[in-house]
Amino acid sequence: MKRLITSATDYAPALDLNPDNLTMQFTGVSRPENVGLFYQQVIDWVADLAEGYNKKMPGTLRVVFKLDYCNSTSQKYILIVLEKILALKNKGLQVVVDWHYDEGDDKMIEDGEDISDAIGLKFNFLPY
Amino acid sequence: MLKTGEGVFLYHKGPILYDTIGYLISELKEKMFEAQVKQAVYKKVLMVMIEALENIFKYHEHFGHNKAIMKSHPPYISIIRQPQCFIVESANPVRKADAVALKARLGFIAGLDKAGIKEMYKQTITNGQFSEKGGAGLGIIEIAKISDDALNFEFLPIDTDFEFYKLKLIIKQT
Repeated sequence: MKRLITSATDYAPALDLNPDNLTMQFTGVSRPENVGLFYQQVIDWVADLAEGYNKKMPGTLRVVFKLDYCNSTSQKYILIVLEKILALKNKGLQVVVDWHYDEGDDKMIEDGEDISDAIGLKFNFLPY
Repeated sequence: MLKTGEGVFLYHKGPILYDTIGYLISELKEKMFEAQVKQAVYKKVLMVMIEALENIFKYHEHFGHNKAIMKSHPPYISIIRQPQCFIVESANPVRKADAVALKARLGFIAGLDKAGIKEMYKQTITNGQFSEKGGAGLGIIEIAKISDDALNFEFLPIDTDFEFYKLKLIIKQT
């Protein structure tokens, strides 16, 4: 499967979804005009990963969010992406989520905490 | 006497399209930087503004072509800075048919405490449902989460088909 890399825009985060080292990075802001279309490529990538995952690949998938802000619709899609990823646990894959936030940005911490609470997965909160 | 940056901080009246939102985000960022507003407060005001504007944009197609309404009741957003808080007010025409459900939803959310709002957020973000316009149903909940006071809303009559929906909330600066 292919690595998916997209550049950040004024509306959408940069994506770097790498199957070789099993990392998924989201960097920038998230309020794409068509949020569903934007995150569908991520959902499709996760589906491909689920299909091609084997025990020779790394045992931990690291999901890294470094977002300046994300609108509420993006939050819902991020949760859906994480749900798809968590389904990979039954293949023996561990999942780690790093939620970076600008120090002093209580809103981004709260957004991460709320998504973490909603999905029932502990995030690592990392100031930058 | 107003300090620098107090009073009307940002104001826009007229059509709100996708690019308008981008422009207003840039303008708010610049003004917040100039006024040296704390990052935590800036981000709350920013997110409320984005959610309010995206809501107006979502319904633009219902009223944007109606010249009479756009002249008499154009959508607007205003952000006013006071010594202790920011007041964010948005307004836009809504179809009467949509206003009924919106009033019920706003009334319900306005009656919730912070724990209740969090619970509603959790239920809504995990329900997997989206509106036909792709909305997550989280916009007003997100605004209520951020607001430091109960949501203040009203619906004013326009004509037989439309009402003017106004939403006002407060974000403390401390």
